[in-house]
Amino acid sequence: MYSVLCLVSCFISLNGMSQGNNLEIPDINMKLRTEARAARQAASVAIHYLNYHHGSPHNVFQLHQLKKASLEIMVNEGRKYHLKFEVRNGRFSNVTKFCTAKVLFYKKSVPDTVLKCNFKDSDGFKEDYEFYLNLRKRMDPVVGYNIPDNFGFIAPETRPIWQLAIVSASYIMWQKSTEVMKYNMAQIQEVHQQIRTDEFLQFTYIVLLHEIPSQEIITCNMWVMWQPKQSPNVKYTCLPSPTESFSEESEFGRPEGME
Amino acid sequence: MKTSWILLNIVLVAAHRQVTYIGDQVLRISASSQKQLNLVKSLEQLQHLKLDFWKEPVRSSLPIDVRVPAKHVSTIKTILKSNNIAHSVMIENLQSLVDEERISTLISELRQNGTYSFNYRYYHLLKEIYKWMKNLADENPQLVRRMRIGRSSQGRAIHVLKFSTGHRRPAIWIDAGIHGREWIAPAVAIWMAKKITTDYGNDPSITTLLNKMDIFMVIMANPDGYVYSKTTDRMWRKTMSKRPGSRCFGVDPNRNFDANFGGNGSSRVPCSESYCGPHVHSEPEIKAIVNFIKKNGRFIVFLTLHNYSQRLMYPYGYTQETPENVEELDMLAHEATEALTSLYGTRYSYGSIVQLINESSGNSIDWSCKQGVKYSYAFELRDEGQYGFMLPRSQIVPTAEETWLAVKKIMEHACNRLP
Repeated sequence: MYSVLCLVSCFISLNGMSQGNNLEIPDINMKLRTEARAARQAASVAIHYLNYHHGSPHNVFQLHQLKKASLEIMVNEGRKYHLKFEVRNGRFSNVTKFCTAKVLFYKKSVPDTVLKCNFKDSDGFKEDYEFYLNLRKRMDPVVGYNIPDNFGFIAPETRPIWQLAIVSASYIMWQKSTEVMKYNMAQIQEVHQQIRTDEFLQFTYIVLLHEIPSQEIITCNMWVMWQPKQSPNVKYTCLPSPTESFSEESEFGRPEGME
Repeated sequence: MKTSWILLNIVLVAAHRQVTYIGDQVLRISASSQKQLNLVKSLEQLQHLKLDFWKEPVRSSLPIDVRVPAKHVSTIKTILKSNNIAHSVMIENLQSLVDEERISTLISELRQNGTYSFNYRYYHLLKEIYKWMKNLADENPQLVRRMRIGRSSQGRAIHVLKFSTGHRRPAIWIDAGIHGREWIAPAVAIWMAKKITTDYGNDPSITTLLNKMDIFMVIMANPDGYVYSKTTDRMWRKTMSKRPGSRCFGVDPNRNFDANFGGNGSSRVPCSESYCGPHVHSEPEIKAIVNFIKKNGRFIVFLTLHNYSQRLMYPYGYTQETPENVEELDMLAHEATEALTSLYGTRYSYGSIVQLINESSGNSIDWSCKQGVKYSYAFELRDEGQYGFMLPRSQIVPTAEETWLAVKKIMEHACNRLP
């Protein structure tokens, strides 16, 4: 295959369609099984990115089905996953939306993500506004601990606070994700609201992230400013995990990986 | 049990003195912090509210049950709501319970203290689970035996429940609770153990199975870790073994097995969640399991329950190589997950550990496979990460019901292929 690609790229360069005079090492493009861990990992990164950017506590998306995945290995530029997938809003929703994404992993950078989904941004912001207005009306700031509690319980009034944390923590999880390291938000340890006079709601959270496959629990302090129809403004610091960097072999068994 | 004594008392009092409990509610309160716990305790001090605690506020990890007189119900709920204290209504109108004809059977059921009055929709304390195990064996003497196979680092018993109708038969192993924080696993194992006892003699498939094979179930493989996750650190995964020279303790029991021990996919760092331990089978819990399985020598199936991710995995984790019956394992995994999904639509993926998660060394199913156990699988139960380890109680029984279908498929397949 390599020699064929070489012939092709040489042919193209002969026709003056490529830039530069050096011999170009061709990129490799391969189709992935949708069950492949690497493909699903790339999809989870795209979904963190989606949830952060959509910025809607009442519209937190999960992967419904990965339809198509391919991997483009670009020498000196990274590994780019091309994905087609369906998402759904919450566990029991039957309504799915279709998305395409390109997720580029390169060394230790934040995964470069380009995402397109087939729903209009104005979908489902009504509940966000109700939540927002209820909080603006309150005189005393929201305070909470252990959400969900140790038994998985979330009081109905606290649920939107939890979902806003997921949307905000998606920013952290998107940034920290690599081809190997995956994240879920495990629990809110603490949340404190700071009352503001402008149109933003402000919260400081301590959230626990579950890191896979190292199985570590990462504690992050997260400062969030939000209003409806906007991605939250998130600043964070995470405490270092006790392990050294986990074995970061690529999924295909070759010991290449992050440098 | 205190509840049954109180209910009996209420019935007797009601019969003699016409006291009514119309509109009285029994609330279950869940204090999520010391602060909230103290607030509930302070309510107890307010005499005029006449609160009657059926389960006293003790620790923030334990539920608090309180009977609230009708006229104070809305006040109490307002106080709880405005302090964000989680609570639910266990009994909406206590009088209706007293009125019902069934009160006497209810009381006798509660007084039984056996596996019939056990709440299967709850994440129990370790001692409640141990008592339940003893009850299950006592209630089913022809089928179930509780055997201690070792002790944990902190001296807690490691029990196995043996389901057997014969002698030295080909055997099935199921373990749960190897990781402290994965509470759904022992909860599902408890439900399944009870199911086996009710199905034997009634369900043809399980009856046939138990007439040909033995089932050995470890409900709680890491009792120390479970207790620590209940009392101190909800996210605790490992055992509680001490490490001289380190402030960190505990070993990941599922990296401690003799299967490429210490290799990639486990950590040599004592503070790490996937610390493999100082040497193979260093953890007494794992040593007990390994010794038992080796001594028995007749295991055909080895299943281990974990959470979360909704996956059914077969070996290996430490290598890309596959077991010699990998095609059969894959096809059976397909059938088992289809059976699981058929109940509530819960979708599982399946494959080898290394394909689905990443490399993992020293894990239990790699070891059991190397020992010659033909059908070795690891379950990662619900969910996919929304609640993760903190799976709500309401999902315990549905998770158990669907998982049971997959477990049954695997056991039946093994049974059908006995020589």
